[in-house]
Amino acid sequence: MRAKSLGKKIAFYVGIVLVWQALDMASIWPDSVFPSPYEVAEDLGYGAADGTLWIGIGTSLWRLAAGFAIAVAGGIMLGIFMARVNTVNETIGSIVLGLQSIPSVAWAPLAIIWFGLTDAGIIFVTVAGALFAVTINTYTGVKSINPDFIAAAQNMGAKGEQLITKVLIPAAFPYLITGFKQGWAFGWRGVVGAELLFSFLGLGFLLNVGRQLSDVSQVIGMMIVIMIIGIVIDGLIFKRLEDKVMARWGLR
Amino acid sequence: MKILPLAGAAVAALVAIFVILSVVSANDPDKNEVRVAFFANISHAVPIVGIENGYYSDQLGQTQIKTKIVDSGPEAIEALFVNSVDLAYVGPAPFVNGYVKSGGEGIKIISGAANNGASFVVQKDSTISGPSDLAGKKIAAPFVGNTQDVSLRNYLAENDLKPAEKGGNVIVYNIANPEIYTIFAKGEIDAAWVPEPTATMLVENLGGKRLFQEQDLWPNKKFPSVLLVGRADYIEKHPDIIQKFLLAHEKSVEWINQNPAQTEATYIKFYKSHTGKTLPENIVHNSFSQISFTNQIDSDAIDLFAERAYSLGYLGRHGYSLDDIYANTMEIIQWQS
Repeated sequence: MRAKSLGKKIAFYVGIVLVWQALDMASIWPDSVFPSPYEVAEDLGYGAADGTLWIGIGTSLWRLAAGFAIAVAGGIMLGIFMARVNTVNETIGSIVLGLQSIPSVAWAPLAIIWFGLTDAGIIFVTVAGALFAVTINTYTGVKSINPDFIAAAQNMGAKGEQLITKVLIPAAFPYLITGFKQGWAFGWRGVVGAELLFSFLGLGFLLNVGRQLSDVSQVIGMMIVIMIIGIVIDGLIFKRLEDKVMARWGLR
Repeated sequence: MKILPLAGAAVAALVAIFVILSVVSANDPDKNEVRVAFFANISHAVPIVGIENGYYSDQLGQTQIKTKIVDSGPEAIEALFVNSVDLAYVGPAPFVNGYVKSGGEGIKIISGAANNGASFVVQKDSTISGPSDLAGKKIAAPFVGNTQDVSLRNYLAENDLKPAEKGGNVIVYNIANPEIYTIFAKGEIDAAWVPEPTATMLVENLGGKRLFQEQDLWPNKKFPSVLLVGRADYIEKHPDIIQKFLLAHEKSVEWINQNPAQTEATYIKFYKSHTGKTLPENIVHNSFSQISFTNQIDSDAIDLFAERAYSLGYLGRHGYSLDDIYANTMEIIQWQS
């Protein structure tokens, strides 16, 4: 079964490349607008050889990691507060959904003004993108905990920090994972979007360089790299984490 | 296996959408008009003055001239490629890049327009006095692949410095001129390699020090900064329009050289109507004095730009050829007669 699924996947990707190559060979558009898969691969090869690609990936991932860590810490705190303290929910909670609807790139102009063209500015955009997804999912997770569990823990003397770390977070963890998954995806978009606008290192910057040099191969190459990183992070980290959590919490 | 025909249909639909979109976006080529792109920079005084004084419309008669003001050379080249303009006033670096990227077919140089007019400006209290002080510094230049960007990165490379994205320790910010002005004012950058009037504005308004003028680094102390270029297919199809356009272009160059004070006034007026901002006279005057307007083409300098861009990796890795970069205007004139 697995082999068959893998076979389908390979056939699909080979198919895409073949159609792409055929379109290129049909010469409907000039090469300066529509490059061949070979040209894109070649361009990526150069980037890998002179190090720009690796530095770009490293820079973007570093920003993602920093922004995501802040968003997770902040989002869990905010989510728990919202779920446990009614006043917080009625005040801050009412605006979180609205903030969540702001595309992360829309934070970039503000970040440029506040932080200048710095890593901090791009990380700010990443946090703004990821924070509210984590918050909302944490809130939902804590809200859906069986109140008896919390009451039982409190009867046994758990309170404050202990209640949060030993009861609320573990019980809400499956939701938290969903929040992380959404949050990192929003954060990743935020990183690349901000890099496009900031034009200050990273994969988004390299994509922009490609555009400014009329180098479509580099533009498409960077888009592919951004996508592959998305697939890899989702598949290697979050999918596995989710599977483990689901199995351990007996949800599957 | 029902999935295969389904997938085939999906791919076909996607391709169809793509083709339709690209057909819809293409302009009608037979319209009697010429669309020209240029910048709101003072080095682009040739089209600005020519339009203001009516030289183009006088020459072109029935043919409408449509203008598109862009922010950067790469943007102008992009506009040529996607057929949203026919001619453009751009720097040599974006031209060379576009020429090589289009396989030497897309665009050609019709005439020169301006020389010089870019400077390296450092902060007023800066300790930078030469290339050896640039390690670890933050320097801004307009868009990647633009003329100043090529000069800056070449200058860094010649002095064994590498930009951060290649693992070096000089951070190069590629942002638009107005933003360079803003971050220079905030002190977020140490230096900027910028065209006029931004360079003079950094000096006059923000107390920046003009460390050197770019022409100081060039043989004969001059380099081409603005060229008149066009889409090859347009030039071939409309030699009459190109001829008339060129006559107006030359008239404009001549007038600018004879009437510098009026040119400055015309530019201030144009800038006001384009951006809503009034540029102080002294800024315009000092910027203007940095630039020389000419329709001569310094082909050696253009070759040198290409060499530099190539060594920066901007022109791919398969070598390049500038064999056919000039529109044969002699030929155009013969057709005309």
